[in-house]
Amino acid sequence: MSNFWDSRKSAVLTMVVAWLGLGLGLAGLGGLVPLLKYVYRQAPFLGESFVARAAGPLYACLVCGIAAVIITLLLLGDIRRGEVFTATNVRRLRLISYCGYAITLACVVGLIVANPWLLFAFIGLVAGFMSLLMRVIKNVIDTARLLKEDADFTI
Amino acid sequence: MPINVNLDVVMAMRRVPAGELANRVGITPANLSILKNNKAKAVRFSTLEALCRELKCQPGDLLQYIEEGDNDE
Repeated sequence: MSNFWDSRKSAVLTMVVAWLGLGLGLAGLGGLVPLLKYVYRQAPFLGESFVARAAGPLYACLVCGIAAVIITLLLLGDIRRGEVFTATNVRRLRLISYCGYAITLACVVGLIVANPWLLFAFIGLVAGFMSLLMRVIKNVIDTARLLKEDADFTI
Repeated sequence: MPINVNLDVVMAMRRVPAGELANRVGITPANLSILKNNKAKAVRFSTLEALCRELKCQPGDLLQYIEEGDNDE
């Protein structure tokens, strides 16, 4: 069992999950409003303007999420080619963290204008925390890039 | 960078081509070029030893310290 799994298979699995995420995100773009209408029919206490108020921030979250997944796919492509510690990948990780912060910002707007606020609070907190983690990973990769550069130019 | 590598000068004096020197020292021609063009960030003692052995010179013949702002070479 220990010989079955390796880093190449792990990278493939990550790619598959990322593509699934992209598919879900794109499906969400098309299906968000019908889903919100269905939720309103099940829970009319949310108010008549629920769909209109929640759709905007949620669409913003979806778009930022899709952008983050696309950048992640580009990053994974480079990693599979062996190009890991590069300035381009550092930039991509920074952009992914910005997408997360944009989701947090959209959720702050959602908190203020839409109901239920708990949903936006949860999504915003998770996105903010994940963005912080991405920033840390970006810093680690950047340091590794500099160390690799030093090693590459050590004759 | 304050450390100047005078490898090309010594190679010219000894009339050793780059490809041949790289082969004898055990580094790639690309790495030798990095060294010659002052793009290297560090040199291993083993590489320095091999260069001095093949070029029959001292480390001081290959490496020169130039203070920043000093225009005289």
